[in-house]
Amino acid sequence: MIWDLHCHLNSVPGRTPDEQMARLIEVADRMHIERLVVFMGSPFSQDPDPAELRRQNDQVLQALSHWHHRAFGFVYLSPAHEQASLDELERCVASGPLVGVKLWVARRCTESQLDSIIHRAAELDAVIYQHTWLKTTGNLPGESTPADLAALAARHPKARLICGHTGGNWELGLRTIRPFPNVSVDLGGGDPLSGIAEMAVREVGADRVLYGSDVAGRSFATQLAKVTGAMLDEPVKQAILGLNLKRLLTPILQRKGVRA
Amino acid sequence: MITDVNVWLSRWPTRRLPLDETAALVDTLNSLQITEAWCASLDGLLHRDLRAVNRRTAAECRQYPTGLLRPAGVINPALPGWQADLEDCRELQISILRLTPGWHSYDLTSPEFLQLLQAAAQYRMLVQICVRLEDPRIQHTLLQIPDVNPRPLLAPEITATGCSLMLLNALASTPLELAGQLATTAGIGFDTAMLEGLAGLERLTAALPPSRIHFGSYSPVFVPHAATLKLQESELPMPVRSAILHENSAAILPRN
Repeated sequence: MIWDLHCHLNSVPGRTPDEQMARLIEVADRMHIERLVVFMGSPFSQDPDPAELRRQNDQVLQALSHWHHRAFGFVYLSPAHEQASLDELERCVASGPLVGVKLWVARRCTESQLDSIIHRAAELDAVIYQHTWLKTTGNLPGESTPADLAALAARHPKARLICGHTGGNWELGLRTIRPFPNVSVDLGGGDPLSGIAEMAVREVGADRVLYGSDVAGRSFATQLAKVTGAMLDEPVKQAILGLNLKRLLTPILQRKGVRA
Repeated sequence: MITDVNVWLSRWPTRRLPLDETAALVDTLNSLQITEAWCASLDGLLHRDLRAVNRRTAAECRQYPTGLLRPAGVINPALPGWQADLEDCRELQISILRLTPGWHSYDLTSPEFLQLLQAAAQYRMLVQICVRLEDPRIQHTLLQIPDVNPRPLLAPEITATGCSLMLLNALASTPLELAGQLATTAGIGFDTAMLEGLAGLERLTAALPPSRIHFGSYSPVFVPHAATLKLQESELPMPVRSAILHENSAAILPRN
């Protein structure tokens, strides 16, 4: 069973979200991926205003509209617009079909405006995906590091948090978030470097490691290979490829009456 | 048959890799039905005694009698006396030269690089140029190596050498339009190791002549399975698939 944590519509060929979603599913089928988690629309917007947030979330809602049996969605929010984000959380998660939150690079996740959003998301059992990177070449001004996420995790120990890209510089990211049991790591979005999955399992435990692709910027193939080609036992691979994500999503899926 | 044009032996400078022992790497290549792997040594990135590096590579490849491993010599034209390293490769019957200009601090406009291409052409050697070995965003702070700009390879003095050229790990940083120009105008080959994106091989074969595309895994730095899974993700006509997997590389460098 393969569930992909991290998919985007941006750069997928197609004139509409429906066409893009159909293409994503077509290629996912070749890789035997059962479920996709989709967030953010087209084009990517690093610091969206409230109208753009709503527009991007509408694209995801539209893309999922014919594929609820194959895909889930996360709502794109920004701590730069606290009230608008809370409103989107109510519209898309509390009252809508989305099951998680995506936070990108508008503001670092150390900002206090995020607390109300995380608090409400946790009340809803929503999974919270925070993009993180620790770039040797320097981060964007609003780009969170794994240390920023660690601080957020300490403030919100009941929130289900995901460390996007395992911090990019994954050897450092894993060391940083290791003490926080409410943080899982997303292996996706970097080159298919040998050893990433093995170190992740060793450092944070197999149940906190998630397969995600970051398609369409990345390929399903390269990101799946990090797991399927790793020196890990088969049950561990199965956990990373899908079972762990299913377990993380189960509370909110049950709340919504979704069987998966 | 699969020829992997981008394989490495020995140790990556900043971490151990699960397959950095050659026997384990060979087992995995065999399991993926790779029948020929062009191998250079990662020692060549920082070592200055490249004759010793290349001799070890040749000896290591000979350890595996099936002919799976084909040695590639690392040459650094910025080092004094690089010509002797080249002659040594010739004596070792190495017909592939692998260059890492970023790690060796020269660019593709340097006179020594041109001289190297001229010599390689004379000896009918293939020259592989590594555009990138690691995403600059994750490099060690003491090993920040820039990507190589391949555009100078379009210069008439380069094409006039007649040297057979292949770019490795180029597709992460080289725009597809430039890659298409290099492939079409200068006849330069590209390996697939750093190809990314949804159904990436379908996009690549639409942008480049399929005859210039070569299967490459960048093993063991990259997980070898990434390269083979890309073939599953894209739907390619069988002749194109065969060309990428083996026929294109065999046309450049037939087995003796």
